[in-house]
Parts: sequence; C-alpha cells; structure tokens
Amino acid sequence: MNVRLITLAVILAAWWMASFGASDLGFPGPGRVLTALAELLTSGRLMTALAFTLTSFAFGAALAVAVGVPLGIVMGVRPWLGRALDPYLTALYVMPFASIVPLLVLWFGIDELVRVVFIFLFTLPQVAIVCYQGAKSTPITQIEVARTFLASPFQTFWKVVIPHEIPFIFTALRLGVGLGIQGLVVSELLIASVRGLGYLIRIASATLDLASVLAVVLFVMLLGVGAVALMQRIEDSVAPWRYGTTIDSGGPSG
Amino acid sequence: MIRRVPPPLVAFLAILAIWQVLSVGQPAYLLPGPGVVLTRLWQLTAVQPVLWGALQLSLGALLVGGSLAFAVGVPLGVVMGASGPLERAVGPYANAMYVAPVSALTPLFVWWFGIGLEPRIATVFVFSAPVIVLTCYRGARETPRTLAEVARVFGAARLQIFTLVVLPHALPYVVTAARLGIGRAVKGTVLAELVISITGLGELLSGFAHVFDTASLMASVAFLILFGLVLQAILARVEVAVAPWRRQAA
Repeated sequence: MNVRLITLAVILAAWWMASFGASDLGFPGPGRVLTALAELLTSGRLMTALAFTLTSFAFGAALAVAVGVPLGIVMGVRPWLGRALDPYLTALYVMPFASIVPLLVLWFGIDELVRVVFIFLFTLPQVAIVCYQGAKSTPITQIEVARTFLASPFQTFWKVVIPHEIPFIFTALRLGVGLGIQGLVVSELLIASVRGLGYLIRIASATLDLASVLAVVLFVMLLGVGAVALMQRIEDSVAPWRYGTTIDSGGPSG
Repeated sequence: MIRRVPPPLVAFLAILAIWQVLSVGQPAYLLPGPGVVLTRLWQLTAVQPVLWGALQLSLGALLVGGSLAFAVGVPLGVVMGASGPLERAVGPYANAMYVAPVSALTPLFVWWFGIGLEPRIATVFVFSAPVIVLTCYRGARETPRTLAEVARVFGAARLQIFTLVVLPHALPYVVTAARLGIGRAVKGTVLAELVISITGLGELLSGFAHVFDTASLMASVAFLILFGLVLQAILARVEVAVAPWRRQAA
C-alpha cells in the first residue's frame, strides 16, 4: 500500500516537473487539471454528460448480462450447443469492435439506441464465454453423485450446476461492468453526439482547453477502474476461494 | 443424422439461413444477403486486392506499436514477477491500465503527436502493453517454489535462479502474452484509424460507409474477423510448440 502511494507521488511529481516549462496548451500540470475537473464538476457539465452516457451503458451492459449469462449456461449444459456456438463467440471476441460502428450507425442511427446496441455487442461475448466455461467445468463427479441419488435433470441443474456457476456469474458481472465502460468510451469517440462525454472532450479540444480534456479523460479512466475494483470486491466476498484467480479475464478493448 | 455433422457447421448454416431470410426484400444498402457479402469478400481479396492493400497500410502502426509494447512489457512483467518491491510499486497501475478504458487517451495522443503515424503507434501500445505485462508477470510469479528452492539448495545465486529457473518457466507465458497482445493491437489499430487518422483499413471502412456500400463494409468486417482468428490460431500453435504440457491451461 505504501509503495503504491510512493509510485503515485513519483508520477505526480514527474508530471508536475514536466509541465513546469511547458505551456498550458502543450502540457498542463496536475494543478491545472484538478482545477479544470473541479470547474467541470461544479458547473454540472460533467454530470450532465455522464448521465446521458451512463444511461446507454446501463441498458447495454444489463442487456448483455441478461442475454449472455443464460446463453453461456445453456451452452455449458448442452455440450452440442456449446460446441456449435463457441467458435462464433470467439469470432465476435477477436473482432475489432470499432470496425462495426459504421454498420451500426447505418442500422440504428446516431442516438442512444446505437450506443446501447454497441455496448451490448461489445460486452456479450466475454460474458457468455465466462458463463459457458463455468457451467462446462461443473465437476462430473458431483453430477454423477446427484444422479446416483436419483436427482432429476432439473434438480441436478438447480442444485449442482447453478451453485457451481454462481462465482462465474459474478466474474461475468465484473467483466460486464468493465467492458461496458470501455465500450461506452469507444462509442463516444466514434459516434458523434451533442450530449455525452465525447462531446465534452470535443468541445474542450476545439477550444484548445487541454486541461479539461485531460480532466475528462482521467475521470473516465478512474471511473472504469473504480467500477471494476468495486465489482472485484463483491466477487471476492461472494467466492473468496477464487480470490486472485481471475486476473486474465479482461476482454476486448476496442 | 444431424449429430454426425460438426456442430459449428450446423450453426454456420443456421446463421446464414437466418441472415438470408432477414435480408429478403431489404434494400442492398441496409442489409445485403450472405451471398452478396461473400462474393464481395472474394472480389475485395482475390480479384482486386483492396483489403490486402489496406492491411499493408495498417501494418506499420500495428507492428511498431505491438513490438514496442512487447519490448517494454515482457521485461517489465517478468522482473515484476520476480521482484516483490517492483510488483508492489507498479503492479496496481498495470492492473488499472488493463481494465481502464484506454481508448479515452486517443484525443490526447492527437493533441501531442498530431494525426500521423505516431498517435496510432501510441494507441496500439496502450492497447497491448498492459495485457503483455500482466501475463509475463504471472509467468514469472507462478514459478513453482520447489524449483527455486532446489536451485538454492544447490548453491545457485539469485541471478542464476532468475535466468535458469524463473525465465524458462515464464517463456510459454511470453508466447501467450504475444497472442493476447496482438489481438488487442489489432483492435487498437482499427480504432486509431477511425478516430485519429483515416488510413488503411479504417479509411476503407469509413469510405464504404460514406457511399452506403454495406456489402463491402460487411465483407471488410468479415475479413478483419478472419485476420484476427488466423493470427490467434498461429500464435496458439506456437504456444503448444513451446510448451506442450500447457495445452489445457490459459
């Protein structure tokens, strides 16, 4: 914890020193950026933009979880379906997401709907893949014991597969939140709006106000990191035995 | 009967059938059918190599940014995994960069580097470096304790333990890191070409979008997906060749 703070202090000091001779146009120091952030917060512009953007995030990510979790579970308990759909989830997963934005704009316009669809598609593959892996990895011995004790398929599903699946669902939720925010940023960058965070950045850039650009960018990045950290906390408290095993599930980023 | 056919093929045919049904009666700029798009894919790659040309233009930023991320990420990750203080000092930030929406940085890159090759290289770098650092970190970190202890019992110096035990254990993870890194590098490249400077594949995509050439647009997306899958498959092969015992893991 202490070393971490020292690193932060070093970064801030280096930033401050680097900005010393530079003009505010080229490289504003941490003080300027904080002032800009405070100004954006108190004037309410940041919150208004955020409220617009976060609505599409909430719908898109919630939809991805609502579709991806059941899809993954069904793929896990029906191996044929799992093998049939797995390659296409992988294909969606490796697809550079920015490339489908022109298509989505064509189909869904440039308003909120296209953002919701984009965030949904951005988040869905990873959520479904995690839930698929969870359901697929249910220990066969447990299923056999349940069967030996004459559990019906229905009972086996609810009493064996689902409890095994729950920590994976929480992982999927964490990924959904993290990816949803990444998708939100990509959609704000690529689809012009006159309300969201992307608009805020564009206005600040156009008026050569780099301190505000930096303030918005840092704010969004911290928002993403903070939301994921919060979900990680929840996940660790739900399934402490999996603590620290989920580092490699971060997913696509564009 | 249906069970003898490979399941992915059945799904593929089902997807094509649904797509075909949806496209019936739709104007070509809205939703061209699968036949049209596949023909277009063939035309754009085999007849006139438009997509290959665009890919060539994109490769510059992809290769330079990806190599930079690899050159910085691998040593940083491995040393982080072997050194406690460095791990505590840098680890949380590497993790944060991994989950952060790094695409938010692109407006800053435009500000500092203009709209040439440099901001695109920077975008590719921030997309791929974090996953490379973290994967190599895991490789070094998860070196079995017993191996390091045996080396110590036989009088190995700290440097020897690092070069003879930790590094060989981390090697397959370095290949995994390259695979994950290249996947994100491709995504960073396309994003940068759409947001920062219109060139290469990004130029092709936005050009098709501007003239409502939806078939070409969809063919290009299919091309990008295939390109990504081929890259992943090649590096997955390398992974198995380097470390056959890890076939199940990662």
